Amino acid sequence: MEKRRVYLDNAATTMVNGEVLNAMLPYFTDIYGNSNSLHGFGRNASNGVDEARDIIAKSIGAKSNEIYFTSGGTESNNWAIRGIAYANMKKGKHIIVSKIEHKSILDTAKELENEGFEVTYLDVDQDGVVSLTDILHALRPDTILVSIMAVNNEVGTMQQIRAIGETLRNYNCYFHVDAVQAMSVLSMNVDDMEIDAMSISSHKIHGPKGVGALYVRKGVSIKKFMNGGEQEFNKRGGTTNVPAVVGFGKAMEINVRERDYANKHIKEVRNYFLKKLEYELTDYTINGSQKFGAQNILNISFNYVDGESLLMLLDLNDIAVSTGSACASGSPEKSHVLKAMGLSQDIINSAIRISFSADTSKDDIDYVVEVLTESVKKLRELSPLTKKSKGGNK
Amino acid sequence: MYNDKIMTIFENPIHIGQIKGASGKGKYGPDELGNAIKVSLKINDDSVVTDAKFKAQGSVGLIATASLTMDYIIGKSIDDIMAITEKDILKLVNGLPESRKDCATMVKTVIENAIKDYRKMLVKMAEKISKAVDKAE
Repeated sequence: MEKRRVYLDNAATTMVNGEVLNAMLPYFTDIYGNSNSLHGFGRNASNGVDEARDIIAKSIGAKSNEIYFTSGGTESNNWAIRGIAYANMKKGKHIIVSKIEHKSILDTAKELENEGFEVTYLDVDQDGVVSLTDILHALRPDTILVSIMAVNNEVGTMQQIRAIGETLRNYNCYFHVDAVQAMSVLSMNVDDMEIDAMSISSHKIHGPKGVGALYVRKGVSIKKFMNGGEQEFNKRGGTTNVPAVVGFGKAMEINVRERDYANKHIKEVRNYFLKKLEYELTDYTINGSQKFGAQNILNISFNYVDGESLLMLLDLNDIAVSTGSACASGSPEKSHVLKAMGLSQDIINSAIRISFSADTSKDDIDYVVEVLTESVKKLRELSPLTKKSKGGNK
Repeated sequence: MYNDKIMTIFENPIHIGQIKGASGKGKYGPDELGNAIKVSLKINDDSVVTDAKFKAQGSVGLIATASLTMDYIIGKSIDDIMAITEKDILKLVNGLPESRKDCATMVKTVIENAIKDYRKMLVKMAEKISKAVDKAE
């Protein structure tokens, strides 16, 4: 089959939509004013920011003055945890998070522990699902914040955010949701789901990198994140990244408009992939919940195959996937998510993450399955741990 | 993260497999990170390695390092091979990323294990012969 470039790492980042790029361009060359300036250049830029804020607020059922632009999901998560913890420490110093949160949550929680806060790290089941009962058991009178991610970035498992939100309504603590990975697949309504703070990011929904937002419900106490100006309702100083914010707004508008279609297409592509794979290979495991999983993320472990080696063989054929671990970025540390799910070392070491987008075609899948099959067979032949009869090669 | 030499070798590694009737065999792993490697050597009466083959499961670095090192040791005496250091192996592969430097250690260890296996076999054979001689006498 003819070689082609296939990007299946959409959970890492996505291609910027052409419509988004076009919306951004004038803000580099024409409407380049500082959105905080009083003159016309500034006011025009400010209008673009306001419009984007309105779109984003509407898309999650929030008010515009509850949306704070940030540099991305990581900043939003850092700010939410730290900002709420500092502003509410007189009420209590106990925080609850799950063990499969993004590092921007877990590392911040760890730091807060060093500063005298207490953190409960909730276990997940084998599918990566947090139990509501576990949350109820962990809640204490001094709990000030519960933070749970809506869709896990490594395995795609969805949490029961609405049920958690409804439950927490009866407790005197705030509920933060990391929805960075969720926005492309789920409709998140902060009122329906009883969410007090929510992190979202632009580049996961075909918007530009370097911009995200934190939703903070009116009345929720959160400490200012960055000094240096009165931007973002005096909560986050610094010159607004106007073109990126405008792009984020446009990306969200398209996301809301096309999400249902994209989900349907992605589901078809995923099923097509799995069916083809089943025909070609045996001895592999799909990690994460099939029932409560986002369709765009597929975490899969091939027996007797190292995840990194498989990733690189695919890369040599212009196919981009990622390992289910931080390995790809150079650290030998394996996935904390798969570990928390209680999966075996073998499964963890061989995991790769394939993440589809609305742009993924069946022709792409045909090519990927062909290369993937060859690569898995090649690595299994190389492995000293497999016997010919156990190789799983059809 | 890997250099061009490693990527080229990783795509087409050589000296793969197991030698039938090998003089010495060594294995390492699987360790916690899933690295596993097996080596078999053919060694002649002059203690020179005439063939070396490996099978490995693990990172790109492990597979490429094993392939390059097998090629390097063929034609060398086992004494010379025992003197090879991690540094020599790292030089041979034009360096490994910091987080994958232990691949050199794994490959060195597994080759050493194969040579130790060969030496053990020699001692056993010598003992057998001396026992047979004793019996004959």
